[in-house]
Parts: sequence; structure tokens; C-alpha cells
Amino acid sequence: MSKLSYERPFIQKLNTGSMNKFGTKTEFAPVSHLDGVAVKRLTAEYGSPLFVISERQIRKNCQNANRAFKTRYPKIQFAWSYKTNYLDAVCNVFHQEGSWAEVVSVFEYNKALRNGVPGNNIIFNGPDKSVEDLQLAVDNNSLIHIDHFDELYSLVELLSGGKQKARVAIRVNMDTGIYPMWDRFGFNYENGQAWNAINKIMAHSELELVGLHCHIGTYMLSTSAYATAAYKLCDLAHNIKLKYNLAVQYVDLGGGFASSNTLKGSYLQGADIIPTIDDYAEAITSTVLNANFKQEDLPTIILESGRALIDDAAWLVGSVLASKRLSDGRRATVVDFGVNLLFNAFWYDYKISPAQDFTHHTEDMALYGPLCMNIDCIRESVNLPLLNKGDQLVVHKVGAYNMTQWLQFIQMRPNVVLIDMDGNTHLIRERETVDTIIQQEKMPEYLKKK
Amino acid sequence: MGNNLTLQMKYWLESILHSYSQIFFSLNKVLAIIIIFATFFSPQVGLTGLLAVVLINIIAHLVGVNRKLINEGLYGFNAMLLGLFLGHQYQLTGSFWLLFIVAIGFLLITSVWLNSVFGKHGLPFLSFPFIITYWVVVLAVGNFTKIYFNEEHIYTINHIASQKGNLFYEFAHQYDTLQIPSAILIYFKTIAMTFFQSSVLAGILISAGLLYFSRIAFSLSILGFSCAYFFYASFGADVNELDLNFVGSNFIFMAIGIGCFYIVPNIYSYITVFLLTPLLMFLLIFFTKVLAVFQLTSLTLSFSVIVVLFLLFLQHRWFHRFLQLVTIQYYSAEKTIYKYIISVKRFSTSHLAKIQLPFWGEWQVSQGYDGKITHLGDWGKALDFVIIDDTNKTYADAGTDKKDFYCFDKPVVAPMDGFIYDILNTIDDNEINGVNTDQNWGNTIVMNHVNGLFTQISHLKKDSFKVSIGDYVTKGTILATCGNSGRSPEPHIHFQVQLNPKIGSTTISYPIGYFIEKNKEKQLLKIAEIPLENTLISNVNRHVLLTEGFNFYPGKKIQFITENDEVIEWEVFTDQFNKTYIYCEKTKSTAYFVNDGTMLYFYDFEGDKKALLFYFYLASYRILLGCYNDLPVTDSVPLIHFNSILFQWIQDFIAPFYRFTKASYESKCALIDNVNEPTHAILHSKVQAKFLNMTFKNMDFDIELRDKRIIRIGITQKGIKKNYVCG
Repeated sequence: MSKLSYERPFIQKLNTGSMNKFGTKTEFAPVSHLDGVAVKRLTAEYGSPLFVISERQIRKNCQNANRAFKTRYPKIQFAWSYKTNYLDAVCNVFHQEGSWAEVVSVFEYNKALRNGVPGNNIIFNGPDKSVEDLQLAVDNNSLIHIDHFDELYSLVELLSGGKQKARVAIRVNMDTGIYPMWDRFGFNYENGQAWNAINKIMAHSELELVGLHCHIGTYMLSTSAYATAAYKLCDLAHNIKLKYNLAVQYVDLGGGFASSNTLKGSYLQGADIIPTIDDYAEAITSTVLNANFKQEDLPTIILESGRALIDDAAWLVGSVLASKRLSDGRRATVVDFGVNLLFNAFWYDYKISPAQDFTHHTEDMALYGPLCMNIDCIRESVNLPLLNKGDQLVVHKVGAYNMTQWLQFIQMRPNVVLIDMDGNTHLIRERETVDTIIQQEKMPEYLKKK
Repeated sequence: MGNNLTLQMKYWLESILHSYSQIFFSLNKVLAIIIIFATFFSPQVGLTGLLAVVLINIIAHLVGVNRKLINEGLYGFNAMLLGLFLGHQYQLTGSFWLLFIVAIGFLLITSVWLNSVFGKHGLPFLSFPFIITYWVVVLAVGNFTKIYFNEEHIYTINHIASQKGNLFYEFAHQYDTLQIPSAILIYFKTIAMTFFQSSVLAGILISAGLLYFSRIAFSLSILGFSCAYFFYASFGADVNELDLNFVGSNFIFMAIGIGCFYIVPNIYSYITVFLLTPLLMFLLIFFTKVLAVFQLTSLTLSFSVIVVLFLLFLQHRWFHRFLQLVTIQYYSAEKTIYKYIISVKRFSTSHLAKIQLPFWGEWQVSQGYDGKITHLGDWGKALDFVIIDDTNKTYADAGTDKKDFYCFDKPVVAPMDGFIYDILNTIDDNEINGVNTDQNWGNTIVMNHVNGLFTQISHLKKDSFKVSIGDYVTKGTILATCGNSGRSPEPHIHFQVQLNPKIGSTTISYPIGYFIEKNKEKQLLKIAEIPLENTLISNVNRHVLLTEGFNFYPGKKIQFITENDEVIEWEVFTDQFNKTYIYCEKTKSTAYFVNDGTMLYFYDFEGDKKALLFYFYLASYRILLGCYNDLPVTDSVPLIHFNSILFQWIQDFIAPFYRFTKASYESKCALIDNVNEPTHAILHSKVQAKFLNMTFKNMDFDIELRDKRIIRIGITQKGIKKNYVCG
């Protein structure tokens, strides 16, 4: 029999409730393997903290989403939202699954081009597109989703007198009955701004209106909002057909499908309240199918879902640095990953599991990151087993936005590993070093140390 | 105007030539010229023959008979025979010419009459008009004192003696006493006798012309003659009779007609010729004896009777086994056979209605035809479909609720255009594993596709119907959604084709027009097949880029510019048989095509094989009108386009039995800019001709399309690439 591991003493308030012979057992299951690979092996090989991504899960998510939509509607196209996770390896898995690229900056645009996405399969969204960016997009025949009149004017100015044509769509914002209304992006539907923009586009022969786009929010818990959005886009499409006899090629419903993470302040667990991808698909496709398009005019539905396709395909593995007691008696655990790596910890209560076996005793604690900043708190209160220094933790469903919004602040960004379909691990982003950071820095001559 | 004149000239010239070559079921001009030349070995006979052809064509044209038939020599060839006969039989006096004109007029009337009588039954009138006219004339002439017999064929020895020193006569008859086996000599004499010539050289020339025209027809003429020779010898009849009075010609014509002209040449058609020979022989003797009473000869009567009888017999079979009637007449046995073989391969299912799968996306066949669960007996030809995930499960979560099943509430679409005949929508969906055997079919829709087919889709979700009885819907329209009603333990669609409108009628086996089967990450295009159990299948998507780009509607003009800035112009036409084709005026080339909406087929080419149209015909030989990565379409191309002459001739002789060369075709998408709404695509196709697995011809083609039209064709041959830009 191996030596029992040391477990520090703890204090637990007695709770009322029915007694059983197991005592107050918790449902904590240690997560010792990620997609079949031992956490111990991963940290030994790649260090801690460490992001781990499962290719299998990404593909499964893609196939699920594709099945949900394609069995309901004949023309479906997914476009991978680069901002959600633009690690090249991740993007290429999505591209292999048939996704286009949806980018919101020229940086992302170039990344998509580098990944071999054909120019005309790149959707260029976002409010920030310089004249040079627009020119690049036009040269590559990409889909430009115009966000504001100033962008429309610069595009017209850019193309005037030349022979080039741009394939454009407008981003439409609208009241879909949810709050907040993202009216800062695109043209408003209700006040006629969108129709105005469409008319302006149609007046310019160098602009080819190919689609209509909206993106009504993020982590949307209501599918009916999508039905409303789809309805309003279809209404615009009908009006375009009526006035200009032009059938738009696609309606782009954007993304915003919720992942099963739990929002802060939510009474119920995320998994229990979010709609499934099938629910979103049903709301969107049935609306478009019922919109009385002629069969040959039926537009393609483009979806830019990011979060729902990647969140549960990645984990963050970390280690306990210290365990301490706060002034008010609460337990606090300091770990080697903080909000610098888990930016989304600001609005998610991430599910965190121990990576090794424990007894059934647990304790409420605050989980703090390694930054020397007061804001660096991962969970204000989380019930975990009794952790010792060096123990490992696994944070679940961290695939979306963390690997793009992470900060090089105080700490370096760690390794990112991809587990492929056969269970092999591949380092897809190397941890940063001091050199990574200082190579961008310039030292004025007079400050150099003599 | 000048153009019009040359056209007129061409028309008349062709009408004359075709009248001669028609005798051997041909429109070959070289053969015609040889025959004309040979008939002038007896100048008088040649002259009357030619005059008869010209005269009947002119009269027919003036009175307004079908000009295409005139051009094909259909009236001319009987006139030619009559003209030859009259010139052969009588002296050319004034009274003779009167008789000649009357006879030709009568012949035309008889021809038109017989054409209408026989044409109704799809039968040829062959030489009946000639025979009837001949009888009428011969019997009438017996009463005329001013028509004199041509004595040179009665007193032949005198005639030969009188021609001594006539160089042309000596040239024509130089081989008459050739020392060759008598069978061969009789063969040549028989051929010559067909045109009322006694010269062996005429026979040699004409058979050479026949060989040049068609190897198959030539070999059949030998076969027909040999069979006759064999049976004459076997029955102890006189073989020397064969070159008299058209006796042998009957066997030769029958062999060509039955062996390769009206029937696609194959081993069975050759056997048929052998088997019909004794019958023909009996008929011949019968007619000869019966007609002898009237002092008439039967000439080609026996051949005409036996061919017509036999064709009628073939037409009335229920199953066209062994012998296939020729439907498109190319006037060439070689073309017929090569094109027939290919078209059987390509179009054997083209008459079937193009049913599509009644859903969107990728589904699995959970129970196929004659499945073990419920597709039994008379109801065996049905398909069940479900949706599965990557672990082959049909549901997510626990699978205890209908909604856990992927296919539940998914759209079910119309498999073909048609009327909604019946809807049953009163049955509640079962809980999982609940089976409603009282209302077996569950909520069901039956469509009437008007072409005699009905399709039934069952186990639909209650109250999910988007159509009502009597609606006309097009292929792909949503009908309802997948449910779990009736005898359905878990949600699925049941699909069957039937000949009766009643719900639950017995099923018939009917293939799906086009679908894609996916196995182990590879996708296969299936054409007119029945999906197999456990396969993953989806519909073929068509794309406007290709459907419009390859939409050759009649009247459409297409223009290409070569690298040397030459302009090539094509136009699309429809002919009287409703066949659509692209015609290139400059090269006089025609490429025939059909487009069934999902697939474009080019199936025939006539004309200049150096023309761009020929390459386009090869490049677009078979094009799937949907853009797919990695979905090649393959086919076989008729050999006659590729073989060298010598090669081709050897192949021709044995083509009815074995083909040692083959040409294959493949096309696929080399570039697509957008899988859903492509605006730019490059199709790559290649043709390979092989002789016993050795490639001797290799061609690569690119067809580039942009904005719903073809913009470029690239042809790579022997490493040289040429581009043609669409103007």
C-alpha cells in the first residue's frame, strides 16, 4: 500500500440535510486525462500552465453544427470566427472541416490568407478597415461587410474610376428583443438606415451587393432572437428583390451561440440553460424557409459561430502555488494561471477540477492567479478538494477568446498543445520568453548602458 | 446568291450520289462515284440509270416530296435500279423515252405510297417500288410493238464479237475470264449483276468501294454470299445461278441489311444472317416459280420480303434480346456499333425519372431494399433513412425522447415534381420504442408524379405538413418533417415508389437519379442506383455557375477567339427529332448533347476532327453540373474518334465481336472558389485512348467558367497547350 498523501487540516461548517454513510460526499471527479492523454505527462513535457486543445472535439463540434444546419436547410456555410481563436493550427482544423474565415482586422485577414484560405472565402467584418485594408480585400475578391457609412464612402472612393468591383454586404443591427442591442455595429434596421445603405450600394455599379449580415449579440440564451433577426434580414432581401430584382446570395446570421460555460451570477449551470445548436438551427432555418423565397432564390445561410464550436475543445492546466487563509477566515489558493490567461474569468465561473485523486473532503476557497494585482481572481468562491502546493488543476471549456484576449502582463504566455485524432500531442504555440518581448523593444542610444 | 447556288448544286449532287450508294445502305460518296463509273461499263445502261435518278429527283422536288428523303436518295435508288434495268433491256428509241418517263413517274408514286404504308410501321420500303414498277412495265411492254429489246444481252456472243477493238469494252471486261476460284469470280459477277453489268472488273471495283465504305458491310456481303454458296451446295442447287437475275444480290443485301444496317452488328446478327439464308433461298425459288407463270422474274423481291418480315418480327418482341434494332441511323455500321455500345452504357437509364432523395444533408439508409426488419415481400422495395453522428448513433443525450433523435422534425422534401395526391395527418407520434401497428404507415404523404409513378413517404411528424392535397410542388420543396408516427420505434423516414396512389401500395424498385455516397471520407457519385443499406448518402447539389454556363439553349451563339485572334462561332440548334446540337458553320461540325439538369452529356459528333468543337465535345463529354472537390465523373468515348486508319480498319472487321481499343474519359473540378455559390471554377477533363492497355492518345482539357459563363477552353495535346477565350 502506497503511503497516504498528506492532507492539511480543514474546518467545515456542519450542514443540515439527510445523513448517509458516506458523509457529505461531493461529486468531484478528478480529471487526470484530457482526451486520453495524462495531465501529468502533459505538464511534465510542456510545463505548467498549459493550454490543451482537442482536435477531436473541434471536429465533433463542427460536424454536429453542420449536421444540425445542413439537414434543415440546403445551403449552409460556416465561417470560422478568427477572433475567437486564431491559432493557425486551430483555424486549419476548422478550414479542413469546410469553414471559411471570418476576420475583423487586417491582421486576422492576413492570417487567413497565410492559412491558405482563398480570398473569396474570407469575410471581412468589423468597424476598422483602412483604405489599404479595403484595397487588399477587393484585390482578393473577399466579402466586405460594411459597418458604417464612412466605410461605404471610402470604398466607393477607392473604386471610383477603376475597373475593380467589390463584393459587399452590410452589417445590420436590429431590435431582436434582447438587451443590450448591439447597435454600435452596422446599420439599423428599424430606423431605415440599413435600407438607406442598401440603396446607396445599389446606386454604385462598382459595388456588388451579395449578402446581408447581422450579429445580434454573444452568448445568446434565446433562439427566438435569431428567428427575429433572420426574419428582418429576409425582409430586407425581399425588398431588394422587389426594388432591384436582385436575389442576395446569402444571409449571414453571425455567431453568438452560447457555449456551456456558466455566466457569473447565473443561478443555474450553463449546460442546463443554453439552447442546443439544433435549437438555434431550427429557429434560423425555419424562419428563412418560411420567408417565401422562390426555391432558386433561397439564400445561403452563413454562420460565424465561434464560441460554441471551440469553447469545450480546450482546457487550461495549471498548478497550485500556495494555499493561505485570508483575514476573514476564508481559504485562498494561489495558482499559476490568472486573468492574464483567462480573460473570460471576468464573466464566466469556469468549472475547475483537480487533476489527481483526493479524499471526499472539500472546502470553499477563493482562487487567485499569480499576478501581483488585486484584480487577478479566477473564482471568488469555488468548492475544491484540499489542495497542496504543486497539485494540478484543470480549467474546462477555455477554448473561446482566452487564447486571443490573453495578456502578456507580468507573466509570459504559456505553451499551447494540440491533441490530434490519434492522441498524439503537438506543440502549436511555444511559450513566450523574455526575448519574445524585448525583441520588439528599441533602446535609444543614450540610455544604453555603457 | 452565289452561296445559294453552290448550296443548290451540292443538294442535287448529293441527291444523285446518295441514290447510288443507298443500294448498299450507305451515303458514301466515294462508293457512289465508283458505282456510277462501273455502270458506264455498259454505256447505255449507265446513261439510263443516271437519267432515271436525275429525273425522279427533279420530279419529286417539283411536286414537293420530302426534300430530305430526296437528298438521302431514298427515291433515287429505286429509280436507279429501274433505269439500269430499262437501259439494259430495251433499245433507246423515241418510244422508249416515253415509256421511260412514264415508268419513272409511276415509280415515284409507288415509292411515296409504299413509304407511307411501310413508314407507319417503322419499316423500310426497300426495292418494292422498283419491283412493282418493273412488273407493270414488263407486262405492258409485251403489247407494244415499238419497244425493242436490247439484243446485246440476248445474243451475247455476237455482242462480244462486235465489240472487238473497242478499247473501253476491252478494259471493262479484261478480267471476265480471270483464273481465280469460281466462288470469288461468281461473287464479283454477282456484285456487278446487281447493277446490270457483266464485267468482273465492275464487281471488283464496287466491292472495293464497299470495303472503303464499311469493313463490316463488306465482310457481311462476303458472309451473305458464302452462306448462299454453302446452302446452294448443301442442297445440291446450281451455284452458277447466283450471278443470274439478282439471285446472289438478294443474299448480299439481306446480309448487309440484317447483319449491320437495321440491326446493331454483333455476333447474333451474323448468326441470324446465316440462319436466314436457307429461308431466303426457299423464298427465292418460290417467287421465281410463281412469277414464272407471268413470265416475270422476282429480282430483289425475296430480299425485300424477308427483311421487312424479319424487322416486323423483331419489333414485336417484348424483350429486345440478342438483336437490337438500330434507332439512330448513321448509314455506317461502324458508327452504329461504336456509338451504340457507348450509348447503351451511358443512356441505359436515361429514360428513368430522376428521383432525388427526400431530404437535405447527409442521411443514412437504416433499412434498404428487402431489408430484414419491415421491408418484406411486396413491400420490400423501400428505403428507411435516419441521421447519424460520428459514432453511428442516431440520437444525442439519452435517446429517450423523440427530440433527442437527430432526424426528428427535419425537413422532408419532394423527390420529384408532382401533385400532392394524399396526406394522412391524424396519427400521434409514438414515444421512443412505442410502435403503432394499428396505423402502420403513420402520417403519410403520397405524391403523384404524373408520369405513372407515385411516391410515398411515411412516419412523418403530426401537423408538420407544409402542403395540402392538390398542390403542385417542385422537386426539393418541403413537404413535412420527419416524425415517429405509425410502425416506427424511433424517428425515421420511410420512402417508396409505387404504381398505385393508395397509401401502402406494393412497392416497385426504382433507382435514385443522382446521389452521393460517402464512405471512409471518400465520396462517390452514384447514377441511377438504389442506395444500399447502411450507406451515408446525400443529394447532388447543382450550381448556377455550371447550369447556366452549360445552358446551351437553341439559338444561343457562342464565340471563341484563338491565340491567333481567329474567331470561331457556334450556334445551338434543335432538329426535327428534338435533338439539340451545337453547330459550327465554318467547319460544318455538329456536336449533339443532352442535359438532364444534373448532368450534361455530349453524345455524338459529326464533322471535322480538327475543329475546336470536336475538342469541346470531348472536353464536355460528361459534366456534372455541380461543383465538388474530389468527385470525378468517368465515361467511355467512342473509339472511332482516335484510331489510325489501319488500326481502325482491323478493329472495324472484328468490332461486332471484340473491341481491343478503348477510350476513357474523366472530368472533375480542379478549382472552385466557393462551394455554395461558385462564381469561378475550372473543370479539368481528360481523354485517354488505349490499345490493349497501352495509351496511344492523351488529351487534357480545361474549361474555365466565371459569372455563369464559359470564359476559356484549354486543350493540351502532346505537351502543347492551346487556349481559346470565349468572346
